[in-house]
Parts: sequence; C-alpha cells; structure tokens
Amino acid sequence: MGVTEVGVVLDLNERPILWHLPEDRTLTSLPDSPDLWQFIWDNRDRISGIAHSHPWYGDATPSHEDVTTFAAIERALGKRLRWWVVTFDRIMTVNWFGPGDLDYGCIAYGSNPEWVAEIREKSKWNLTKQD
Amino acid sequence: MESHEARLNITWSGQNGDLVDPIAYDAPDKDILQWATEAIRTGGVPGITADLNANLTDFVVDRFAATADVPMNRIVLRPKTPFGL
Repeated sequence: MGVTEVGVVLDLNERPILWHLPEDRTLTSLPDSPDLWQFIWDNRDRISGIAHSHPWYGDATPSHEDVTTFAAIERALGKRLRWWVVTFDRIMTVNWFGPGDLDYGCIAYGSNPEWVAEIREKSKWNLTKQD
Repeated sequence: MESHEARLNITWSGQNGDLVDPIAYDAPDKDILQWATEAIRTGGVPGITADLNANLTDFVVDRFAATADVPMNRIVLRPKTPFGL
C-alpha cells in the first residue's frame, strides 16, 4: 500500500489508543467505518480527540467531509472533541467555536506530540518527495 | 416482532436507547432518520432524554438481519465516520 490517510484515536492524555488503518483507505480518504464508531462509543469516556493525516506537504485544513464527520460524532457523543489534521510538515488542531453546527476553527500546532512521527510513518511520508 | 420488522437503536448526545415500537426492516433511510429525530425530540426513546434540538444530519443507518444469536432484525443509527476530500 502506498501513501494513504491514516487515523488515530487519542486518549485523555493525547496518547494513541487506536490506530485506524482500514484496508480500503486511500491517498485522499478514510472510508466510513462502523467499527471505528463502535470503538469511539465504547471508549467515549477516555477519548480527547481524533487525528487523521492528509498525506502531503502543506495545507492541513480539514475538508467539508471532515468537518461534517466531526459535527456528527460530537452530536452523537454529546461532547466536544479536539480534532487534529497532520500533513508531512504541518499540524492543525480543530475545535468547534460555534455558533453554527459546522463552525470549526483551526489553529496551527507548534510542537510535535510523539504520535505525530508515527502517523506520518504509517501514512508513508517516506514515499513522497518535497520539491 | 414480525420477520419484516426491526428494532431501532439510536445513539444521541451520549445516550443510547431502542425505540419501543418496531419499524419495518426495509423502511427508507430518510424515513428512519425522520422517525428517530421526532422520537428524540418528544422523549419517545427510553434511555434518551427528550431534546428539541435533536439533529441527525450526517447520521447513517446500519441494518443487521436476525441471526441465531440475535433473533431479531436490528437497525442502528450512528454518526458517519469518513474523513477525506
């Protein structure tokens, strides 16, 4: 498998508790997954957020698909999460700011949590070249 | 419960419950989401506090046919989980 998006669920200490590596992940998508939802629900009291990679260099802004997924999961859980988008050279944290259901704001994250290197590795950053 | 019916399970705002009355197993997704929304808003789902702001936009419908272990059809509402472009 080549370069792909990868997901990871983070606990209350922002450490990985599930690597989300579905067989049908692609360069530009992680497919809908009942198993991922079941894990989130079963562990809802110890989850702080979910990260996924955008496996390229540059912009780490979430897509419309991403934001609508953030909102749906938060409505189901009844609580807000911290969402992370990681590219090969940037990290963005995304939180709901309101008032609208899809009013999420992005903040560039300045440091590198330990799991960031691993999500880049699992996304196969080494198969890419930066010009 | 008849063989063409199903138990509807709903997750909303950190709570989970089953609709009391069974629904048709082959009901359209759009109808199921509308019934569930109305049921949450009116307090019709045991285990889920009534919520006038219930909004199941971007929730999906999973269907599970009866098995030997679970001898009833089940329909489960959950949020979508895809990421990507």
